[in-house]
Amino acid sequence: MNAAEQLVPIATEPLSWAEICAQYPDQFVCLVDIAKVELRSPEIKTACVVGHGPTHDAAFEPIRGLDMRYPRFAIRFTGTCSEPLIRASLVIDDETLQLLRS
Amino acid sequence: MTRRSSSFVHDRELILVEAEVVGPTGRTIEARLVLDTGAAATTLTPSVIEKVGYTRRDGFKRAKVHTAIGEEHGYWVRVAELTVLGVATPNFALTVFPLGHKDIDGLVGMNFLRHFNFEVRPADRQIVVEFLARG
Repeated sequence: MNAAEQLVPIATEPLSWAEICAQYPDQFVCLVDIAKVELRSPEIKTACVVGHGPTHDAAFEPIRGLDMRYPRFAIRFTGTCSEPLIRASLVIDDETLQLLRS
Repeated sequence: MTRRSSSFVHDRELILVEAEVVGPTGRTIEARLVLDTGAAATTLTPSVIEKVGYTRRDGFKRAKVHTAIGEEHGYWVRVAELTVLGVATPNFALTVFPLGHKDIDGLVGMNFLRHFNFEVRPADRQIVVEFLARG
């Protein structure tokens, strides 16, 4: 095995979302080979975990430079976030309005 | 006319839909966005946009929002492609701001949604998109 091969992260076997949450509780997971419950659904049926950690960046780190090997991925939080969503009002000037209408 | 339906999930009464964001090299992240007809612009978080290869240096315009706790500065960037509800839009301009939430990657706002008709069917957890034939 050469050095490049050693750096490739090991993906888990396909796991259900419930299994992912149980094995990686309250953390971010980086997922590949994602199967959805149905087409265009945000719900994950199964996926392989290639990274995990306490932050979005930490979960992504194992595949950061591996665009060719992992061209498609998702990062999800397995816990429950109780923080309120920040509701922001965009400041719209004339240039922004043109952009929004384009 | 073509109609296409997509399912969504409810999370604390927010409507979350699936999105695909394609970066400059073709790398694609699958994201969860809030369907937000009250938002003028579509927004992604810095965490998401950076994972597909964009940085603040790719921004073409500064953006500013007012929040309950003050002002926040972000930027506008054009992503190679954004797909939501089965509608793929190349070279799409969106804003980048933190949203302070671990489960949500962004908002799909009216600068994306205004290009087609759609119907939200909450009891069915479906959104039906209607594509008008262009002659």
